[in-house]
Amino acid sequence: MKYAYFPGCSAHSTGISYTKSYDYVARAAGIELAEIPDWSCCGASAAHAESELLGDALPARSLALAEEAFGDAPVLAPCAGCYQHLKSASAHAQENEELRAQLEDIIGRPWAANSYVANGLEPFLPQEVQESISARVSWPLNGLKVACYYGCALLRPAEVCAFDDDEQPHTMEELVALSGAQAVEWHFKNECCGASHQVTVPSLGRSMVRRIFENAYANGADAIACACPLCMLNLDMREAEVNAARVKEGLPALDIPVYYFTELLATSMGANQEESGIGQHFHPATNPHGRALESWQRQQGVQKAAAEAERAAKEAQRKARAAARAAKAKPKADAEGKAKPKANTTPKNATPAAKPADNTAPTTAKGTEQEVIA
Amino acid sequence: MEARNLTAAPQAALLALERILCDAQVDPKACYQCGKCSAGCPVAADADMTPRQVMRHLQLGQAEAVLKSKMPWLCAGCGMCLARCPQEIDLPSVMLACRREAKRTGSPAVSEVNRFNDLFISGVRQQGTSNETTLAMRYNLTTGHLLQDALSAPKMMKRGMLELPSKQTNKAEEVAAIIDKARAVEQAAHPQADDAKGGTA
Repeated sequence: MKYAYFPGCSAHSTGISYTKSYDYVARAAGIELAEIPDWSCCGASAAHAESELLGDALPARSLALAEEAFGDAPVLAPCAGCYQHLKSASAHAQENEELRAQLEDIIGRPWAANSYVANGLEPFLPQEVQESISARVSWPLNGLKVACYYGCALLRPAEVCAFDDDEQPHTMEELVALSGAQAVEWHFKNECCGASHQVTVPSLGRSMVRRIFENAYANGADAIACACPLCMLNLDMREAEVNAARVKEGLPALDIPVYYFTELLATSMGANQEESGIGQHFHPATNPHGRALESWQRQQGVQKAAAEAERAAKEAQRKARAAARAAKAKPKADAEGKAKPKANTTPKNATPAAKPADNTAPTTAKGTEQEVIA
Repeated sequence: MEARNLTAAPQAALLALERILCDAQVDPKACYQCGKCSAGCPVAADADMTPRQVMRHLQLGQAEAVLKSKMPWLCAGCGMCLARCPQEIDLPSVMLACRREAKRTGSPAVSEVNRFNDLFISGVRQQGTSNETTLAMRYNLTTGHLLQDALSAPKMMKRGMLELPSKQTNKAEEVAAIIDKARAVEQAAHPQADDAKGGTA
């Protein structure tokens, strides 16, 4: 499939590892990215804030150039912010012929506004593309628990974006699962990262990312996946500050790397750090396989401990029943002794039998349980 | 609740209210104050007014209170309120309309947000694309937060996350022309904006 590719202003700066990993996965999946010649900034939220018309006019220029070069080929904007602004401008022009004509006049180019605008996730969603990715996964991230974070711009306005459920989205989970990682359910999938508030109102911005990290942690995530360079920057760059604030409050620092979903896919396909970009993060993120293994071992430990505890409890129950039967058979003989002060109703053999259950519930179980609860 | 005589409200406030509602294309009477917008709003807790209260003030014709509020400026435009509003009231547009009106007739309640947006557009106007490095430096210089995030710069440089500003191209000229033309069209459509400014200056 061929897409008119709109890289966006962060593609070669803060979003460099998105661009690298996106190229890698797209190539493997047979997706052709044809860059829109001479594209310009989408205006981001600043243009839209100044006036609705300016917010539509800046994306219109690049969309018109895409049309000129590639006809009705779908336009791909991997950056969620660019996607939202291109998609909105396109939707406004489709709804309102008068506006479309006015925008043509402002940009000084013909623009039919027919092209579909796709976000970074969409090209990978068709069944056959997912299959071709699966076929290339050679070093899966089995065991890694990932919280998929969509933020706002991929999902809202809901009637414009409309590619996934805006409250319970699931498409990124589908794609992340191709890498072998396991998506966790959590509650901040569609919450806002604070956008430019990280710069303009830092205290508010930090509290917004902190809530996201803490909810991912509470739901057992080893990592967060995203599909937007601004979400990534706001989370990855601010995690150290979130941790500093937590430590000050006597809470443990979090260790949750943030990945583009394409970085996880590329890594599971065997891409090295240079190809996937995972060496270019603020929070250490270079060893997703190590993290996956650790997480898997932790999960195994919990399961094993739970199984052992269950077995021990059953064993204790069985012994207690046997003891009770024995006690019934000759009640007077055992009526005196140490059993009395401990428990009146339970036969004395029950206590030592039950004890191993507590002791053998291994110390690892306690350790892992604490981690899970924390 | 005490009855309110809207016709007694000062003429300037009524005009401001009319401009806000016209810009946002919202009928405040559609809001029945359920508060879902404010329950889902990620910034309401940090603002001096919730989105529901903004709507209430607009219902009562109290534009002044809204124009002084930080809420429209703290709104991140995330769209959660609109997505959950049973009446589909476009609250993000209301917030932006309030910002524009506040900018026209007085001063923005959170000047940093206003400054950042203006610098963003002026950067795009000069280069055709947005350069994050230039934007951050200009923002720090003009707001006096000189060293904000400066410690991250070397790390970002090392990771190839900083791009040097590109030279002016034809693209930049075309984008500048688009911005100017869109502004001229807006100006022609809302000439009263200038009157308002002239009135307060």
